[in-house]
Amino acid sequence: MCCVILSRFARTATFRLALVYAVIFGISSLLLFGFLYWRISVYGLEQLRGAIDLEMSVLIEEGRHSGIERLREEVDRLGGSAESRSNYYLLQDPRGRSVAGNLPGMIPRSGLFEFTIAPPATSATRPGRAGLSLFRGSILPDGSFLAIGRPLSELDDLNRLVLRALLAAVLVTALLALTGGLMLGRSVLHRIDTIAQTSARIVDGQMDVRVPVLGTGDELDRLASNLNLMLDRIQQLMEGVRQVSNDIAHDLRTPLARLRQRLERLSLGGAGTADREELEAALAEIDGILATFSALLRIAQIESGSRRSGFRTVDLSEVFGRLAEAYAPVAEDRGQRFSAAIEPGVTHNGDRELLTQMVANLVENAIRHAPEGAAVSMRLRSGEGGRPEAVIADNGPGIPKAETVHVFRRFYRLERNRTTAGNGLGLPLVAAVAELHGIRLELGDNRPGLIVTLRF
Amino acid sequence: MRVLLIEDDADMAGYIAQSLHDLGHATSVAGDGRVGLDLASREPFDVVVVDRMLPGLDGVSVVRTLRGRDMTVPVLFLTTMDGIDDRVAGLEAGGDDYLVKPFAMPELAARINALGRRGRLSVQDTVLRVADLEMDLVKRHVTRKGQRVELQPREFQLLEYLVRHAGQVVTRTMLLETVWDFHFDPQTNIVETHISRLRSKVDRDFSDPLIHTVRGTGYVLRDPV
Repeated sequence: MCCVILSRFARTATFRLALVYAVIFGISSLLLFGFLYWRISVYGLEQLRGAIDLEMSVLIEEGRHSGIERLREEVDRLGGSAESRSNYYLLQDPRGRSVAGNLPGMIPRSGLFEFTIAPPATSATRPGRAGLSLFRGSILPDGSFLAIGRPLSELDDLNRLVLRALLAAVLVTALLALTGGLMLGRSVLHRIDTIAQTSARIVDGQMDVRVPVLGTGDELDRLASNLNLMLDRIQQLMEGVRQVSNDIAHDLRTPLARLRQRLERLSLGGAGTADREELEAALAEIDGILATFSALLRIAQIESGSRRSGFRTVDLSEVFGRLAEAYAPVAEDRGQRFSAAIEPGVTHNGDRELLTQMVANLVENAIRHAPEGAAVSMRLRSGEGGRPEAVIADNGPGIPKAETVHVFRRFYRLERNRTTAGNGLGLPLVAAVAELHGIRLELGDNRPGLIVTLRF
Repeated sequence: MRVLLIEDDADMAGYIAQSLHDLGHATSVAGDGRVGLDLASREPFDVVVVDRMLPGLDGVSVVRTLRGRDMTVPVLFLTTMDGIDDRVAGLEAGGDDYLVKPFAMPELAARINALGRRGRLSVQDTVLRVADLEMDLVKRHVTRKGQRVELQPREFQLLEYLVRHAGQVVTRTMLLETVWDFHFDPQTNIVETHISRLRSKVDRDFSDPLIHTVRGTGYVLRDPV
């Protein structure tokens, strides 16, 4: 469970953003602190060398002025003093014998060099470069050899301390970056998520929801308000289109009615047979147009939702039974096999007349588009949780999968049906009634044919 | 028949009145609700045709008032809207039938005929007879020339409607509405299919058919004599 949540979290943009943030901060602080460390250690070494060089020049000067004996005393004093227990001093005579200092002899050489002194058994062993020291040697004018050394271990200690501090700083920086990234990501992505959820609801058909605008005027706010403006515009356009088609239907109905009346008067009057046939054909055309307008207005009325107030319990079994009884002979006369399996006592809250028309449209679609010899079936049962479930199926040509999304559009007609009668408003009306009743409408492949499932 | 038409659209009213006159009905026209109500209250009419949308007093109010005065004259509503809300409101106010504008004249004529005749038919009759056809409404029996005719329940209902309106044209829409309770325009020939089945049972074995097709309009069950 925990892993599932984690893995889901790991897929979120918030997490990725925070991670990228942390990595970038970690790397940049690592570079910064690495440079700092390098400079500090170089600086430490230079300080050490400077100190050795200064002491050397002081001692050489002293030897030149006060003589080699005075220098020997000074080297002994320095080598024996408590403060310089870990500092090394050595004076050798021209024959290579150690004459002063706290070191046994070494081969004379001038300049800077590193030299390992075996630590005394008593002293605690130090980690790192144990006993390694930095030395400067000088051959004096009389051939004596003077060497001064400082252990490098102190420098190492310092470096180690600095390194530890810097690493801790890197870690803290990375953690802060991660937390900051998460917080920033959550606040930003939460808003993007809100936008995504809002658009999903709009796709679902809730055209009046809007993306919240916080009023901060930042980029996301601008995005949100632009989206809202776009939605307003789309809604206006959609309403405009709907309004226009309804207005056309409304406004053209009156003149068409008058036209119909004139034609009818002529056809009922003393027109000759040839004229009457023409007139009747014209009347049929007008009736077709009027039927289309009626269907459009009916769909608009259903979509307005006003019919919902008249909902009452509808005996679906009775509705399906009546339809099956009405359509079985129609299918049989077309040479189709018709079957109905209707569970008794299935009811649903709704508009009886609209539900009747919805199922009738589906059954008529099946009968009209399936060829002779096909099977048309309707089924009604009480499904999961007592919710009615209905199926209307045929084994005719069906609807190509790519077209299933379009068939609920007004006036959409499949290519092969262009020549057959029908106004392309049957399925849009079905969709509108289903929507009004909250019925889930699914078009499936009956292999072959169309299977329509209604989940109430 | 005496028909009262309450319709404010003069052009439409003139056309309907002329057509009804041609069909042999005496038609009075009222241009608004008040005049219509006045006429309907004073003179005896067989059918009142009333537009739902009228200036002054609307159609529903006219009919409600009529019914309030115990006037039982059959009423047909004309409506421009085809929502059922409208139809239900009209029927609840006391209307007997409704027709959506624009309509075909033969449709209106058929409905006026059906409404006008209703008053004269006794609802209590348990046996209906037309020529040699006999329907026993209690036993749900049909015989022709004394021979038993087996009908499905819906076929029985269809035949009963035709018999009750014997001699009158009944339209497809009237049959769809009353027999199947379908209030939409089907894209298949439901009525034709069922009538043809009914004919095969009632008429096929007899030389004188009772059920006749009225081209472009509907059907009529007629006594051959």
